[in-house]
Amino acid sequence: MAQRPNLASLGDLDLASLTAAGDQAAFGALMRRHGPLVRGLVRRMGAQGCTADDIAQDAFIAAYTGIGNYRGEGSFGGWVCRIAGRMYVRKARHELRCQLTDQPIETGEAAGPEPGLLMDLDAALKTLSAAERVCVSLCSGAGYSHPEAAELLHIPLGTVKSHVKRGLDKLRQRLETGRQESANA
Amino acid sequence: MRDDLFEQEVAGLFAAAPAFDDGEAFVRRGLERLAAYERLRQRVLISVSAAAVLAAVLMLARSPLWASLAAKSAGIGTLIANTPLTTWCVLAAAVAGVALLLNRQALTR
Repeated sequence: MAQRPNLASLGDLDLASLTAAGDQAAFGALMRRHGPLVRGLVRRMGAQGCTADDIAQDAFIAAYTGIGNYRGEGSFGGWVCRIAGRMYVRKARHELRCQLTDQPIETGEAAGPEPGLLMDLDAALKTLSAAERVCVSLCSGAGYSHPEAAELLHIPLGTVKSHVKRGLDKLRQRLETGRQESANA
Repeated sequence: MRDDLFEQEVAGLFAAAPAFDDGEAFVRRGLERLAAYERLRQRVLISVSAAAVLAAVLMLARSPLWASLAAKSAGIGTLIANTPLTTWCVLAAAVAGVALLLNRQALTR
């Protein structure tokens, strides 16, 4: 009788092959390995708690049904992140639509965490508008190109670029501030 | 150039996944939903197959071959041959619909 391999020690492509052959335990190992990345991305895009987990699980189920399309060219987690990003946008499109197309409102200093707190990506993302957060998350987190993000969000390419630019500028400012504060502490 | 470097840095920060305390619960629930999805998919297949079989029976029932057979026999054969087209369509749709409704919870559970 063939001995079952230790799933945790297998690579993504091997686990995907086992999954394609109907091994759900192998898919569980993929979920265990890449779940935090996908859950983190959906939360960083703006989804909350259970909704974020539902979207992440839906993305994994979609990956399961299309597992034959995974060729191992990138990480499995990155592939599922792209699916999850698309799913979040579809789910939240109605809420996002007006925020994505509206001109940004200059409110001066964006609301951020209290001074003195150690800044990290999650805290810095909270200082971005919903549109900026979604665009930055799609392009930097889920690996979408600007044109792909524009197509997904149904907004002009220039709008995506400006949201990403503004978002990254805010992130840079916040992250640098946080680093300075932690260096001084 | 500086922007590109920072964009890469942000991509690296995104790649560092946050830690979740309930990782196993997430996997368990995901696998449960996956199993439910598989069950639903199989039932949809069965429903569609049942509808296809009914459609085939319908076509046979309306064919001249069946009519000639029905003419030689009585009872159920005649009943099938005389059932209107609309009734067969409704019956086929009902079988598929009821099967889907019964399993709808599998999607949302």
